[in-house]
Amino acid sequence: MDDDKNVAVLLGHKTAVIGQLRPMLRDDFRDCANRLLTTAQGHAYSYSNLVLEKDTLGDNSALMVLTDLMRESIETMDLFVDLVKENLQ
Amino acid sequence: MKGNSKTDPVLIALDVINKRNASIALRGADLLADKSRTLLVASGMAVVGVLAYTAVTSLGGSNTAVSSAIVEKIGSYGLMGVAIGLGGSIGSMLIERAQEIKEGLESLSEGKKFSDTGLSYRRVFSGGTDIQEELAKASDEDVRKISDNTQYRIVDQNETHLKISADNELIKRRSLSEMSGKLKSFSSGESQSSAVSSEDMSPGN
Repeated sequence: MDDDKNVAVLLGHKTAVIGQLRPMLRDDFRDCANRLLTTAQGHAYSYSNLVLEKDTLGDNSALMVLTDLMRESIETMDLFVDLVKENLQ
Repeated sequence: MKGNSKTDPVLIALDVINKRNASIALRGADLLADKSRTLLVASGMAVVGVLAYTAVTSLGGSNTAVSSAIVEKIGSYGLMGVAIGLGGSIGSMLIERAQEIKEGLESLSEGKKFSDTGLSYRRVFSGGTDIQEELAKASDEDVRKISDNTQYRIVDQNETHLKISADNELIKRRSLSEMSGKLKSFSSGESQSSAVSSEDMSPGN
């Protein structure tokens, strides 16, 4: 599987985890979860378009930039989940 | 968990995460705006191509020499003018949005909050209504659908959504009930002696 696909699948996993945590979070955590989900939704929209462009035009430069942004999003989501876990201890 | 917003480490950590996420969202939007401009130029060129073809075939017929001469006479300047005219209004909107995004990024780098940039997340990505307001009014079920939809849109490209769905089922069955009680206690301010393990949080379990 291509690198960008691996990252996209991982982002999908993280989105699912935060989406399922969200109903149980207090307001400020929930707001943060909303924002993370919104960004992931934006990435999903961009990814669909840029994969199409890569397949049709063979240009994957923008997709590579998006993949880096998705990696950053995954790290940020991990930080958020860690923060939630830390505050359970 | 309850403390001064300027000194509470949890709130500071949340603020850092929010800012980092806002920066990523803005850069993603910038990428998309840039791509939209490229697509706009490509669309303009396609329109020019159609117009040129129509002009050539209607005026020059099948005579290749005449057709070439007409194309030369019309010239690239005239055709480019048509493209600029067609794309002008949409292009100016995209440039305006890109400028807003740039200013938003600068505000973040100066330490301002995302809300101080005057942009909403929804506007950043699609120019539509404010998703924060939508989510505030949405039920948990609606949000779950948004989350599922996001996940689907991403994994659908990879034809692996069946595996992801199976993983989600496992999360729901095994981890959610456990986490639910602990997180609710946490939300109400009670401390917990035991934490959810990282295995519980991982999508594969």
